[in-house]
Amino acid sequence: MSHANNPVVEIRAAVKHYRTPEGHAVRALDGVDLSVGANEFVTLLGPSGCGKTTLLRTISGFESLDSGELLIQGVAMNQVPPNRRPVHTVFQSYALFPHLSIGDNVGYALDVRGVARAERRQRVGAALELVGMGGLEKRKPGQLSGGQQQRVALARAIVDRPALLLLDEPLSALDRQLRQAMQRELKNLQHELGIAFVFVTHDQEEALTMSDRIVVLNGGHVQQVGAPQDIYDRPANAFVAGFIGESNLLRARVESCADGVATLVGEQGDPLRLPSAGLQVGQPLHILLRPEQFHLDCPGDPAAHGALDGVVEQTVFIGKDFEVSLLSATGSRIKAVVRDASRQALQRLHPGSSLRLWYALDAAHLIAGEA
Amino acid sequence: MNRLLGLVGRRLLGGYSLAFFVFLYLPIGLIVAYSFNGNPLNMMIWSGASLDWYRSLFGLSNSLSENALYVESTGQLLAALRTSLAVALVTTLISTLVGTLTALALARYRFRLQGFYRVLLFLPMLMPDIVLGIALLIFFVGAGVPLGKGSIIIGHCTFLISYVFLIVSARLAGMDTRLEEASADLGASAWTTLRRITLPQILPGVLGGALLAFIISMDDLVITYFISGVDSTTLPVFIYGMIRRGIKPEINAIATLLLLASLLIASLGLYLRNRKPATSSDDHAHG
Amino acid sequence: MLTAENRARWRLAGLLSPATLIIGLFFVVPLAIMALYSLLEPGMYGGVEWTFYPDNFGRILGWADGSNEEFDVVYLQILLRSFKLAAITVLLTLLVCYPAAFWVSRQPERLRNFCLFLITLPFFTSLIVRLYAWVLILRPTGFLNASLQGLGLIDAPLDLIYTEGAVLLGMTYIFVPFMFLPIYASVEKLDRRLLEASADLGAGRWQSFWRVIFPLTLPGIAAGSIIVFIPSLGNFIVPSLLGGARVLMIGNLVEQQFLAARNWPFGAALAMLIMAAVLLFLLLYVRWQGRAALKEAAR
Repeated sequence: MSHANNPVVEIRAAVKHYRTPEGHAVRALDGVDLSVGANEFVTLLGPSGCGKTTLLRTISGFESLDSGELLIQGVAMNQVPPNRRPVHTVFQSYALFPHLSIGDNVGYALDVRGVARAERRQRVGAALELVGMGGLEKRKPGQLSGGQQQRVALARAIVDRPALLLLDEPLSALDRQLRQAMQRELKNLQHELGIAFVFVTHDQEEALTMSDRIVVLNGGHVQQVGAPQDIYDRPANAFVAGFIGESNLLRARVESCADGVATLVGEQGDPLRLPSAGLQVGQPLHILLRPEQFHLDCPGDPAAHGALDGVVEQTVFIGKDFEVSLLSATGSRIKAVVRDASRQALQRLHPGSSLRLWYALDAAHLIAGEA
Repeated sequence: MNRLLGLVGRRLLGGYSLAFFVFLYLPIGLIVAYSFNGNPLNMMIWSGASLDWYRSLFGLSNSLSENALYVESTGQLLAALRTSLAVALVTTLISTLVGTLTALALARYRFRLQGFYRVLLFLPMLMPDIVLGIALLIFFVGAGVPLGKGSIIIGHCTFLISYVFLIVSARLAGMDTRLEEASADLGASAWTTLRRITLPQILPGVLGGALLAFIISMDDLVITYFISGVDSTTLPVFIYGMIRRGIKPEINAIATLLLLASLLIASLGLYLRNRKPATSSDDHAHG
Repeated sequence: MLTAENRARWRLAGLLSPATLIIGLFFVVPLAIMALYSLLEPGMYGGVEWTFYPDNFGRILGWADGSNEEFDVVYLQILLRSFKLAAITVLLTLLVCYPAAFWVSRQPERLRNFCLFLITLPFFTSLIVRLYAWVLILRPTGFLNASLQGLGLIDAPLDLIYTEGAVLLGMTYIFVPFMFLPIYASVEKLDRRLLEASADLGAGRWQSFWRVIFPLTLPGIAAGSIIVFIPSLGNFIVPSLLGGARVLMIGNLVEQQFLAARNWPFGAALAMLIMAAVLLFLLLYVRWQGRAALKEAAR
């Protein structure tokens, strides 16, 4: 990976404890490594309490590490206060200064650095222009809508071109449509500016849409780092598989291997077939099958496909697609999304009818499981 | 039946509340009325409106000069007013500054003695005036501090810091701490953040605290009574002395002027409180 | 080179030191000296002798055996009267404020704000002026007697001023705003739907009041009571203007010892009793509040 050569941020073995009001020590960060390259859009993704906000606040300087190293542009930052770090944050609630005009809000970082008046005016104007808020310098934050405040917060954070921009769930207060529009805009803006973004969210869709790389966090540990496609298609473990996208995760054990096809027995006794490459008899596995990877009819060579039999429990129309819940003969519950179901096919999706779901052998993703 | 009871109850409640406000304001109204009574012999008997007592108050010639009961000395009254104003101004300045600093310390830092400080700052407000008054008297006499404006200012500051602290603390608690983080994040030093972000945000609280400190200092009687020197009588102590020596119509005039001043200050206070500053969390939902 | 942590510590010390200095030197130290004085022997000409002398308290509480000081039950009587008058003042202000707070809370916004302004105005008004008004009203040739005589209802002036009633009236008058605001704050928070729910569940008005309204406004009542009780107990301005020599309170005794009798240790002992009582009530209040908060949290 090219960005590893000159990373903007490098974190090594970061550990951070918290003490709960009851006196228990909680590890918010438990040996986290992270590196963000120049011009990279990295998303920290995880459920609340996973450590993503702590990690972000460590980079901005509002939290200090108990142990571990933090370098920004190659300089150790552990002891540097927030105001001396070349990093700006877009806060979740925007934190615009209510008593200052939009122009003064955006110009704040320039004032602090003693930028001359004419240059300040020019750069404030340019930053506002960039986020589509040109000419609103005189307004007060209270007079703006949520989306506009969001843009101003963004302009304020990029006006002096920091090395890195941190974004703390900045879109969570916006409604769905506006959020989606802003996602695209943020992505474009990042390209245009050439500034590295570290973006925190708990919304997997947002993460998948915007990121160059996603860092999935849980319980203070990095679960997986990778491009969105990688994370989605090849989750490193059961947590990532469950957290990102809808998934069927079946525990199974390899029973036999023959002719390049392995036969497995699921936890509940379902017989499953997979490509045998790299598998050994007796090995425990998690098999990940995304709902959209199932077919009602075998799309090709039956030898290259596996099948699951069961009874339809429920079928829900979710707009364009049907979501089918199948109870397999042995009691596993399988979720499948069926697209373009014909009238005839629909007959088979009635609750109570028997159904066979097909999957391509090479579509299944394997996660090494514990014995 | 129940409805009828409810209606009667509501009427009763309304009448009761009206009586409550009459109780609050009738006595004050009486003073104002008496202050304009021209009767030189018996102020309980109305003999026409006149400004005589106000003239007498300021030592101006008046038609009743032969038998009117003058205020002892207009000079003394004005001196007391000057003392009160000087004490209140200095006290307000010191207690506002110190109270605000303390509020900042307790709101923005975590430290071990925090609980102790909270209690320590509450106590002067709750200590009965007379206890604080005599404790200060013993202390000043023992320490050889002369009783005068200085001792009064010190005495007032001890408990007015607490009032300012409380009001500014409330304001700080209501302030979004993210604003200060945002300021530091954008490169501002602690001092710049205080000057450009925190102080403007808590300014209404600071002004409110200052106003309260001024009013309480101007009005304090008990503590001042014990620790004021011979030449440092304040206005409330002076009026108290006048009343103890006997009721004179001039007191009505002084009282009315004081009431007028309080009305002005209260209106100013109300104006300050109602001037709502915009907060960043207010308007997210719009648009 | 200072680390960030050290810098923060210095800054904190800088912010705290002025208040620490002023409150420490001019509040804590004087109170400590006062406590010390209460245990010292009164000197000949208003000073003190540096010997341990428990009889200052003995004169009041009963263990003075007559060798140095004599126990006089009058001090206990005055102490008890102070407690009694302070307690009655709390009850009177409560009685005056509670219904009025309900009424105000139900008015339309503009009227409500005006009422609140009228109630807070006395905070800004000179205390001595407000008390003086009652001197004008209650004295033998005052407004009330003059009016009643003018109407021919009485022949000779009534004994109004210099009575316990006058002191109670004066204290109630000046402390009404102290009681009103906490009560109003708790009344305003009352959800009126709770009353409807209570009525809906079959409770009568009286039951609704005792089982719903009263418990919910209790925090306001308690806060108001403590704020009124504390300054009432040690008050000396009101009894000195409206109680005269007949209705002395403990505050008057303290004043006498300091400004007339010049027996400072004895005065300090009396003040210690006021302070002890106030701290005790505060402690009870805080503990009650803490328990209420715990109960709330446990729910």
